[in-house]
Amino acid sequence: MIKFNTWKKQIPFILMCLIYTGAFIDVSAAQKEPEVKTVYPVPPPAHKEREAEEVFPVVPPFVIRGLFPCQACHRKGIRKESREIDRNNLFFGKYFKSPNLKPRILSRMHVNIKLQHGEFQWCLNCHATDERNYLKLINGDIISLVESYRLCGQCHGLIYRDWKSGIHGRRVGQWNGKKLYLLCVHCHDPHSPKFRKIMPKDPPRRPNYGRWESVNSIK
Amino acid sequence: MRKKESNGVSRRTFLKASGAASAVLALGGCGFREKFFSSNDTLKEFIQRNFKEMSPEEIEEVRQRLLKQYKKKYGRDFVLGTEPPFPNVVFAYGLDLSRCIGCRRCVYACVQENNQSRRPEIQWIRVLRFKKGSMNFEESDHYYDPRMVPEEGYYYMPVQCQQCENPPCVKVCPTKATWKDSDGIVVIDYNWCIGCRYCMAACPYWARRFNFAEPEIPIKEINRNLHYLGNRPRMRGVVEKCTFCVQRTRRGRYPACVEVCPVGARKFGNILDPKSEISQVIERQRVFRLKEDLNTQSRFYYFFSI
Repeated sequence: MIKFNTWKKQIPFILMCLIYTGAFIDVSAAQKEPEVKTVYPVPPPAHKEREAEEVFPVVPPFVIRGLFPCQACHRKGIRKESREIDRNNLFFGKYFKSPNLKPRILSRMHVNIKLQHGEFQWCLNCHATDERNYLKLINGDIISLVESYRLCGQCHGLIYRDWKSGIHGRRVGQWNGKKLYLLCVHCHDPHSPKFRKIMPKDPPRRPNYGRWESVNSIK
Repeated sequence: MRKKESNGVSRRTFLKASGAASAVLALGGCGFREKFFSSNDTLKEFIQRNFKEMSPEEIEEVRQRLLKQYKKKYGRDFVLGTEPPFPNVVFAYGLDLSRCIGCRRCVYACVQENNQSRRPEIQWIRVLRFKKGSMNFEESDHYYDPRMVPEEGYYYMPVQCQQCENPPCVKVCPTKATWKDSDGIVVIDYNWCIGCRYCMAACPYWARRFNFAEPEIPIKEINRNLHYLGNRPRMRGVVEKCTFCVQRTRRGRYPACVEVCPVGARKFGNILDPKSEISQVIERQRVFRLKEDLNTQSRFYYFFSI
């Protein structure tokens, strides 16, 4: 049995506990917002099976340190449902901003990325909104960076066909054994994919026909 | 009689002495020659048979001798292979002219990989520049030197040995120093090349190069993965050419120019394997070969993918 005196002594502690738990009370139930769920169009099953077959051995994509994983900044490892809960948090909710889906030119972050690719340019055309470590296809499928050729293949169908058979792009490994495909992004910058001009190596020296000394003087 | 004896030597003694002296001189000369040409190796090299006719033991002996020579000359250990062609493999090469940007990365990768002479300069690959809309070889230029490539209004065509099925260079060789192996690569036994350069005159692609002087390769840059018929250091007075990097392709690797191409214009593979890149290129693209009218039946397929 708890003595009265002891219980009285515990009051500050219990109060502290109550305040502390209050920080994590979900107020979404009280506000009773209508649930917003993004419903992607479900691809037909035949299409999905065909896509599932086409997995190619690729060289793993390179990642830039500090930029990947994206979810280090874009809400680390938390799925959409749990982020909704975070946002409705009584005290810390204001720190969990919902992503700004409006297409715009970024002014604070990722300013060095210049989008010169296609007509309607916006990050979230290709990057998955809710799980930034991944990419999204037009049909709503979420794919990893290793499968990024599927994303590119949505628009560049002919090139994708050539890439699959080895006409476009490059492979590393052995011609008669294990070979890995280079991804599109190994050669093309996905944000501005056109190749820039490069400096050529030196041309061959012109031969000096008829001047025997020049050859003889070498050795 | 007395007078004669006192005067000098008899005919017999003179002949004896001079014979002995010449024998001593000759022997001494031999010893000098041997020392000068590093023991018996030169002699062995001189009587060495054609690579095609050598027994495995002879090949091994030659290999060891060459390794010893290279160690002495360059002070480094080399790997010298004599791999025969793979069975059921015929190589072919594809080049996408609409992708090539004429950067000459392939040329210098080839020089590096195949130990070509830096001075005098020998390059197996020649990148021709054409005006767009024409393919006139007389108007092409391979000394182009702009600041940046690709240039507007031009396209580029690298030309190297086309590894013909019906090679004119092999037909004219008087010593059978060059021949076509079963995987389609035309190779040269440099020890049998006498430097007559008939093959250079016969080749319609200007793919063969001649070592007018002792080739110079910086020891730091030398490639130590060698093949007897491929990139082993050549001597003065022999002809050399592209071998599809025989030292790589006969060990399963891609040629150096394929690996280095920054735009992926170069395709290589086994033409008998329907899934290889080159088979797919031939199946799906409109390919053409250079100077088909000469019936060389080259293994080098050019195409425009765009």
